[in-house]
Amino acid sequence: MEERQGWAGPAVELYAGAGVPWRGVSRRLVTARGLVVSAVAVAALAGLVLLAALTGSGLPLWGCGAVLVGWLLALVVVRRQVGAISWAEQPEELVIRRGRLWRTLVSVPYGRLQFADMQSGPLARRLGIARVEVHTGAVHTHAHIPGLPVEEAEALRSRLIERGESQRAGL
Amino acid sequence: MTDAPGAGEQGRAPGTDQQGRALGTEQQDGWRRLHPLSPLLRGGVMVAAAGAWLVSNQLDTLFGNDSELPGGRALALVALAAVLFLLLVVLGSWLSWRVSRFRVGPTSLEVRTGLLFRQHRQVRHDRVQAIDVTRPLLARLVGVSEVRVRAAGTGSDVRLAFLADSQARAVRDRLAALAGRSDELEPAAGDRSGAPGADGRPAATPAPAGLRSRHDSIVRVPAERLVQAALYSGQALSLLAALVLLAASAAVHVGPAVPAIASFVLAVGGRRARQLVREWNFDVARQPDGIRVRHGLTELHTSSIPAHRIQAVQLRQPLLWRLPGWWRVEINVAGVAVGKDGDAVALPVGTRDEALEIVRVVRPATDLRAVRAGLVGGGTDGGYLAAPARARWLAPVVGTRHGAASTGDALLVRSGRLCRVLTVVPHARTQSLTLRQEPFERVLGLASLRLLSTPGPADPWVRHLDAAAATALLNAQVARSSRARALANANGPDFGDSVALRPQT
Repeated sequence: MEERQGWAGPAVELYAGAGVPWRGVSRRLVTARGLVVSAVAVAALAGLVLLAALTGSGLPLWGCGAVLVGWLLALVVVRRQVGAISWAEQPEELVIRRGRLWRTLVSVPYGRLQFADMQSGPLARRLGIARVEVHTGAVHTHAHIPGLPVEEAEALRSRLIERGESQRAGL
Repeated sequence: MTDAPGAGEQGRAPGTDQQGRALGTEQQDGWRRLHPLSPLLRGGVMVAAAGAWLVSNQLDTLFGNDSELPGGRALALVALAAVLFLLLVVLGSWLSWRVSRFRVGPTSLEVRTGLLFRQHRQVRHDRVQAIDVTRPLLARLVGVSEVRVRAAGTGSDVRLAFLADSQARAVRDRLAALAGRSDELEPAAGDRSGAPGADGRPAATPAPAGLRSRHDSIVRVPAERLVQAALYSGQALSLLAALVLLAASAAVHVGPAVPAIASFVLAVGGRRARQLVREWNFDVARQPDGIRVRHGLTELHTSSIPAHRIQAVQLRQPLLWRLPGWWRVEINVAGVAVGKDGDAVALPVGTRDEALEIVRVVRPATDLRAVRAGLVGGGTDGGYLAAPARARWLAPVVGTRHGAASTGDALLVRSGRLCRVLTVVPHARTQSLTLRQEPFERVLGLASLRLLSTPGPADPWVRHLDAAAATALLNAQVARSSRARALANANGPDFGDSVALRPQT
């Protein structure tokens, strides 16, 4: 729990309402996303090295350098992105913030919630995190919170559904 | 939870089916069959398609292209196979007609279909988004129509193809009356709690009775205006340019350019022509609880939309329409397909007053003066919250026209300088809100607010507001929409969507 408090990162100014209990997501999301990025990078590196070995030309090695730089950059971006994700349960709405350069804040009134689901892939399961996604009548709502610890995600999902039922208002 | 009543129905289904078959009646517990000609009509579409395919092949041969069809005896074989195939199709649709039934129940419309894969679908009346009656050319000749009931989910439409015209109208009116119970509390009609009459309409209020006259037409679009409007569009201009180019390249013998330009002309012109055929005879009428839109030259299309099902209304004026002062009105309704253009049109082209009249009918509580003020102009005219002057760095043309104003029951979103746009989003229909800040906006201290609506032509964005103002607007909008929803809930909550059950054989 404490790890997330520390990880919430600097306040995103958008919607900096006083007393909004913003919560961050699990740091393990950095590991998960970092691993995915690294897998791609390692595969690219292996391919390039193989190419260099087969052709004997030095060009692929330059490519290796570029991939390495890209890898490091991606890892930094992943850390910063995950730090920028935060969410809060307000009396009327669920609010999710994300993004550092392109900042987005999504507000979903509980009464508009059509359904909420929880998903976690094999890697996320191993790390014990899950993603909660909220669906409304609008297709472009894109309200999801990635990287919640499984038990917290489960609790959030059932809380959301409960509130959705009590404040429900059709379409 | 929603499955429970359906499961009960499913258990009862075979018994009712057998009874219906044994008695050979059209009506059993209110269950009705579709029109007996429906299988032929559905098959007829296939016949026409096959015919068209054959003809197009023959044309190819005439023009010397390689035909997919061999000649002589092989042709006879192919024709035989085609006839057999068509017979099978007709037989299949006849069987499916035999087992299809529908019923307008007290709480929902129920449809049973399927011979091998039985399907029992229910759409609760309070979940009906819109009701369409379509009459394709072939069906018009026979005097039957297709009724389509739109529910919110994708693929949850119910199609009754086909019903005799009079029956289709009766079913439509009945469903519209049952679905038209508004869940939005409007200041004028506060005593909606009165017990609904036997047919589901509020019995106490006298107003609906007065509006019952079904041909209470608001706007009728004359054909010449439709044609003129089509000519006043960018597409028409590009078409004209292409035609000139075509003539020029033909004159100076630039061979390869001709087919390319010709295909462009055909594609754009064809689109325009199809749109014209669709929007021909456009007629908007007022209904007890909403509007009825009717249009079409060959295929007659009638759509009844309860006013409280309209998620957003968008008024749009392309640049050239400023000359005659015309506007187009489009609406977002959940479950109405977006891809098929024209389904979401409430008025293809009309004067400003006609457009405003439609807004008045579907949003009676909305302040029309604010709407009128938002159609033209920018800045803070008419009490709008506008983008600050520094937004011109990001939107040099639209600039301070980006803005929004809140009336009692809806948010008006103003945008577009050259092609003017004004969107009316009822507070009670706000699905969710997104505040967005791009890097340049951050530098300038701006932010954009997007009101998410169901899929449709309107996608209201209040762009480049001052960041603090945008945040305040978001908070205010959350409060307003929650208040509007609370009123709606006090007025009678509704649950459950259409339920489709597919028991295995």
